[in-house]
Amino acid sequence: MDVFWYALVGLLLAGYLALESIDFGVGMLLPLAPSEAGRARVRRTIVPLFLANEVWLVAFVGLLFGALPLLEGKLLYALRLPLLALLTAWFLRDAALWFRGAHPGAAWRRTWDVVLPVSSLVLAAGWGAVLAALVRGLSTNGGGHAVLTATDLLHPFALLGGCVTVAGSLRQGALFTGRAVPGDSVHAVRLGRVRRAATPALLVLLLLTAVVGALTTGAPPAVAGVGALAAVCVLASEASLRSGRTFSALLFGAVPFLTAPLAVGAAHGTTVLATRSGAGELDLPEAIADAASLQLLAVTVLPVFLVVIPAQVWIWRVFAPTDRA
Amino acid sequence: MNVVDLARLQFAVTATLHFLFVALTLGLVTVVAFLQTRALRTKDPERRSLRMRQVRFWGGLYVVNYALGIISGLAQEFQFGLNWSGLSHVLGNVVGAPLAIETMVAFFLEATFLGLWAFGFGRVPPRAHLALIWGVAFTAYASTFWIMVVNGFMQRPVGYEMRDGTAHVTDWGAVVTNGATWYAIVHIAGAVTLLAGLFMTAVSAYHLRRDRDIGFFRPTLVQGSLLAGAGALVTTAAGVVHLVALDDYQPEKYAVVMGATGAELDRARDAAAAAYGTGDWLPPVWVGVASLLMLLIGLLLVVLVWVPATAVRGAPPGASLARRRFRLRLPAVLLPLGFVAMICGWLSREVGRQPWMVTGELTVREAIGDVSVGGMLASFLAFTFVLGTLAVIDWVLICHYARRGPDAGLLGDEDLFPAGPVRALD
Ligand code: HDD
Ligand code: HEM
Ligand code: HEM
Repeated sequence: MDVFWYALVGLLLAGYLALESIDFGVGMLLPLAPSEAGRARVRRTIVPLFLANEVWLVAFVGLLFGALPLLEGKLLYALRLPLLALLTAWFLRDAALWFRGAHPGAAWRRTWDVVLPVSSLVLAAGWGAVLAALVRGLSTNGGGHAVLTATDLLHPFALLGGCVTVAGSLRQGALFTGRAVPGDSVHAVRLGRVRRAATPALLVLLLLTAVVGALTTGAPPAVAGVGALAAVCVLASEASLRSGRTFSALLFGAVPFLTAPLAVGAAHGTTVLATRSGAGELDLPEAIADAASLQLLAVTVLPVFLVVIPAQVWIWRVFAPTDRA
Repeated sequence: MNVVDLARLQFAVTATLHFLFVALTLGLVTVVAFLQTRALRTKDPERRSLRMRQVRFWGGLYVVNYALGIISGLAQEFQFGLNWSGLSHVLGNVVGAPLAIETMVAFFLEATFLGLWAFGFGRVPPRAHLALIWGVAFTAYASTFWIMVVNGFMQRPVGYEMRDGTAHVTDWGAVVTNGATWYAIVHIAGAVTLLAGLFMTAVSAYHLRRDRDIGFFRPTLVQGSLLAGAGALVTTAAGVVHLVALDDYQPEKYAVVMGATGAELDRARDAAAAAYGTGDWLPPVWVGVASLLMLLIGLLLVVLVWVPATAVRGAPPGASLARRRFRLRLPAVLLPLGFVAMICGWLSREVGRQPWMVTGELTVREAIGDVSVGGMLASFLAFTFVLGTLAVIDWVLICHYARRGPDAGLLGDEDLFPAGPVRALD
């Protein structure tokens, strides 16, 4: 049962990354729209959806606190500074999406047109790097606590992780926005170019990540396996696109993001907070909430999925751009 | 400043910002849900579209306000782990589940419903669209309930036992029926109704003073004023009941809040030392000032919020009300007072709990994570600066759109802010 809750928490993070990869990409690619009308249109396609996407991370932290309270305390402690940067970027990204259309001034729009791509880039790169660092295992500080240090973040494996999520988000953003702009426009041509460049880059980066991961992490088969799965799905995404099914292309393109939390679990099993030295680690049985709490969660939280999933499908059906609309 | 002070200040700043927006969100969502229900039940197409125009106007202001409720709420949620990891170490089993339920049951659904509602005018079938706003309202109150379960436990811990330094719940029934939770919820429900009513009144009065859209704003002036009056009565009644109960479960707080001095205060101090061991367990005395301010404003509001409604007396429909100046200016003064009272209320409750994080079990000092002063300062400055700036921007936008009136097209079929500026630039 403990593993079930750990997996459910991981699933929420995976859902966040998979859905928000699109928002990150759309945000980063906003400057490609050649006119004000185009940028307004890009924002309009994503604004109804981003709330429903980002709330997966809110749910992740909430359930983490409920089901694995000790992990929540230790993980957020370990990731404190990177999380601060991510949260700040998150606030600004949301503000850019909410507020951009609120005022007619050109300077106002130009400001948010810088804030949105930059904050989206920080989010995409930051999550990739942080997850890669978790796969590799954290450092231990003087107090014996697990921490993510600056050198952890600058390790080639973490940098590669960041590059993978950026390339993957760009690709997702180009696919998603491509569905909303007229096919023969300058904008569509630029988006197509981004996608065609991002795909091979993503494949090479995944390969490199798997190799570096095999050399520098404690779980080479897990890392290589997850990397291979992601690469196959990127290829499948390209194939879907060639046969005109952009929606399945988006779905396959989301797999590298779904697999990122999976890689943490595959690399460390039930060591829910792993360090390279082994000091300051946290194991699942120690981290899990007591039976009374889990029981309450089971009867309240699990039924929510029965409503949330259809509601999220509904929101996509209503608002997601259909092909070349 | 030490780490504990910085962490407290950080929580106080973000929580205050959060609640400034959340309070209006909670009040307005109910108003909008009722307006939309009424619109949908109107058969006559002309009157129906007039009523939908009301839904779009108040709903648009609600959504702009909502934006910052969310952004500042995110800062709240992460702070528990970032700064107060002692809370999860000792009390994770108790406060974790309610917070998890809050995020899963409330936010997860709320965010999805809100997106569908706010951008679904004309895209979602009318009945489903109405169900969505009720869904948002219901989940918003569910989230309030669960967060107040946590806060109530911190004030008055019940239904648990300590084993090996960790708390375990023995009776969830006692945790969710905690009086410290329920007095506060009724009081808050009254206060947010009061605020939403004052907000409606103030915006309507602004336009009526300038003879703009009299047909649209005259009814909302009266409705807002009456709503505020009802809210003020509930708030006061619940506050008085609460105050009496406080003497029972937080006697130290009660003494300070009631402005006790001298021998009376010493008695409270000695009683606390007898209960918790040697030490000073009294909250800072300035809390008494915040409580007094809340109380005075509360009584003032009970008397005055009804007055704007009388501005329409004797005036035929459509007639100018602009000359009833005093009654139309009054709401602009009362609205900020309402916000001040609300913050003073939270200060009484939260600072009045000091030095405890959870009364009698965990002090604030013990609950703090092992964070350096520099790290704490960094998060404090970043959150305060970013959230403060965004809050100001959001308030300016709310005022701007409130002043432009219902034809600003705030909430359109496909976008927030669709009709005005975007097209103008193309
Ligand atoms: C009395 C009501 C109340 C109180 C005391 C709090 N909140 Fe709040 N919160 C709300 C009422 C609310 C709300 C009205 O339900 C909001 C406003 C906008 C929204 O989405 O829900 C919200 C939003 C909101 C969000 C954004 C959710 C989203 O993405 O949709 C988070 C993460 C939190 N809150 C977390 C907290 C935490 C950790 C609190 C503890 C101090 C807290 N709130 C106090
Ligand atoms: C005469 C009127 C009022 C009385 C007697 C009163 C009394 C109280 C009491 C006893 C508390 C609890 C403190 C604690 O638990 O430690 C409280 C809290 C609070 N008050 Fe008031 N109050 C009044 C008016 C108002 C008004 C007008 C507002 C806002 C518009 C307001 C907003 C709050 C809030 C937000 C809290 C914190 C949450 C809570 O504990 O309910 N109060 N009030
Ligand atoms: C949104 C409504 C709330 C407001 C406006 C509010 C207000 C405040 C204020 C003003 C402080 C500063 C106290 C001080 O510095 O002495 C504070 C502290 C704190 N509050 Fe609240 N509070 C709210 C809800 C909550 C809830 C629901 C919880 C718990 C789940 C909570 C937990 C805390 C914690 C952990 C601190 C810091 C420790 C402390 O100083 O006591 N607050 N809050």
